[in-house]
Amino acid sequence: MLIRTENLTKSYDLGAVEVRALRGVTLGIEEGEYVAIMGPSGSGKSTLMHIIGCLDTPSTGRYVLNGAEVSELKGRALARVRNKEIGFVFQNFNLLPRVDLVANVSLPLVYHGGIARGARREQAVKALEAVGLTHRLKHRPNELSGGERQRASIARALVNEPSILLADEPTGNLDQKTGREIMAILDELSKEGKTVIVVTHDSNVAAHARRIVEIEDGVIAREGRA
Amino acid sequence: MDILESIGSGLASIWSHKLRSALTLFGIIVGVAAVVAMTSFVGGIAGRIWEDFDKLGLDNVLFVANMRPMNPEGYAYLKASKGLSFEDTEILRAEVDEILGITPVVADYRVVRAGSEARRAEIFAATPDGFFLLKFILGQGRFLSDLDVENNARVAVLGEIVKEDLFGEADAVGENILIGDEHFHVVGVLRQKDFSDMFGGGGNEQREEHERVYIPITAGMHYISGTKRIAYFAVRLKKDADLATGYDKIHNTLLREHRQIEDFQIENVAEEILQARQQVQEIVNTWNGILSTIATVSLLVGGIGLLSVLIISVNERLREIGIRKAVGAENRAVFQQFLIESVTISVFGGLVGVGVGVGLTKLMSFGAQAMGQDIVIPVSGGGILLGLSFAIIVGVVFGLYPAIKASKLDPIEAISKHA
Repeated sequence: MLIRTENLTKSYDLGAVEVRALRGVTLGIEEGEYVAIMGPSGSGKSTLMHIIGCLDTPSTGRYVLNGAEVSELKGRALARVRNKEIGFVFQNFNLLPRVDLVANVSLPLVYHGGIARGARREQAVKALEAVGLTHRLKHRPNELSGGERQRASIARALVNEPSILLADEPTGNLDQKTGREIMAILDELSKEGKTVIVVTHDSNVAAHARRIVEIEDGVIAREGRA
Repeated sequence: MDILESIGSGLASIWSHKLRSALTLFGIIVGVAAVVAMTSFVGGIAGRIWEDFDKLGLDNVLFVANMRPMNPEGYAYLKASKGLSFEDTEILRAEVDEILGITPVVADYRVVRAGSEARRAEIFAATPDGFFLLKFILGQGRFLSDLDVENNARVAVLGEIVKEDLFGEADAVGENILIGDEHFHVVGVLRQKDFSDMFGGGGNEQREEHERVYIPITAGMHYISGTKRIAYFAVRLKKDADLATGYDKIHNTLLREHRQIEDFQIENVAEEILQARQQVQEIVNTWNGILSTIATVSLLVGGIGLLSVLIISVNERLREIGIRKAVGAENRAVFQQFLIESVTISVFGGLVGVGVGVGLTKLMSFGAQAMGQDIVIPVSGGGILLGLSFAIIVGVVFGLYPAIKASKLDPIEAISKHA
């Protein structure tokens, strides 16, 4: 089991009211699975994604990633798990605007530590080639189309060879045709054996996955094969 | 994050906000320029004055002169003492450890002639020690020697003014002169010391030295004064000797030798020079105080400007910080990046400030020369180092808070900001 959560809860203390975003999520994901986490906004799916992606920690419950207990980790250790185990793809791409694609894609390698500059560039170029951006290496994000930007962010997500590719509404800012192209890349990665988790409210996107987990009101409402 | 990349990022942020950077850096530039220019100015002027003091050669110098006692008892016993003598100098040299050198001086005025030229001059008869005691500089020929003293030699070294009056541009060394009715052979000519205008070109001391004719003490006693009576002693104490102790020992030794009759007085030139040096030092200290106030205020202003720009920069770059953290940047890495950026910006300002400061220094030097002052103000390396260190300190101190703020950001919040 690559990912195993047990009774995860997350509450936010907003002064007078306490918001319970997650109310006990128990979920297991095997290595190589292609999973879609679905739910309307406010359902808690984003919170779940943040915890799985080690950007956030649960209030209670356990989270075991790749055999390691990560629910207890903080700050530095969490940053290291993010760096080595997780590759994020965001809805709005989240590329650094002031540097070119090679610099953007090599960013996770910078924080990996111990990789020489030349080697980092080499790996970043390879990752960009893999998503078909060989001709855009020296371009900055604002010189690219939305689809190209999202492919660059997939390259960045994969450059560290993480255990999990975590995509948050990867087609949300793209037109349908480009969205299909991006999903095709994720499909291909899944076929190659990558563990892919897609968080979306779009059932067409979720349909690409082989398993769909539906979150409502902070708990898993339905679960099934696509 | 590489240090190089952070520096690049800092330079890029200067470049992408040129006006804002210029305004931010203004205070730092002014502060560092002030440090460089003022340090050079104060150091240059003061350095020149210290040099003049050294050339003057009167540090640690005392003169002991004959004097008629003031009190009646002393006057009554005057005959009991023989006054300053050659032997006194031998005794002082032997007994007072503080003494570096001492020479008896016989001095009187005579008309000096060379060919058809003549003038009155002070005839200064001393031992060869006198030349080094008073730090004279030789222009041509040689100084007097011990052999000259031993042989009662009729040789003379001319002060530069005397030489010019008697010989004009022509060579004096090897020529003969008449001192009173006695023939002397010129063996050397002194050269005037090159004092700055600030020092009044050396003033009266300098004139006096060069309106003299120097001859061996023995020739002086034999041909000029006709007695063995000494006019005064010139004494130089050792460099690290305590002035007061040396003074007291000389005073007490002479009193003993003169049977407790105070028929001499000690002119403490060293003390006067010391006081003059202290006065200059006080002026230098005042200037340094003004300098540090200007520098501190402008660096503070510059630092606060830097602080506000960095805070703006952190807020503008929330997304960037969030992205970096999401892909695995530790807090420490973000902290380091922003601190290095801050120092990069402040050092950039510092370097511009050094440039401006060097320019100002050159301008001051040029201005002083245009006003007829013979001064070159050297750019102070220490000032440049000091200015740049200030810039680094400002960058670190005022970059600290923004860097901490950036490093502590929650990645989810930071990344969701649409800045």
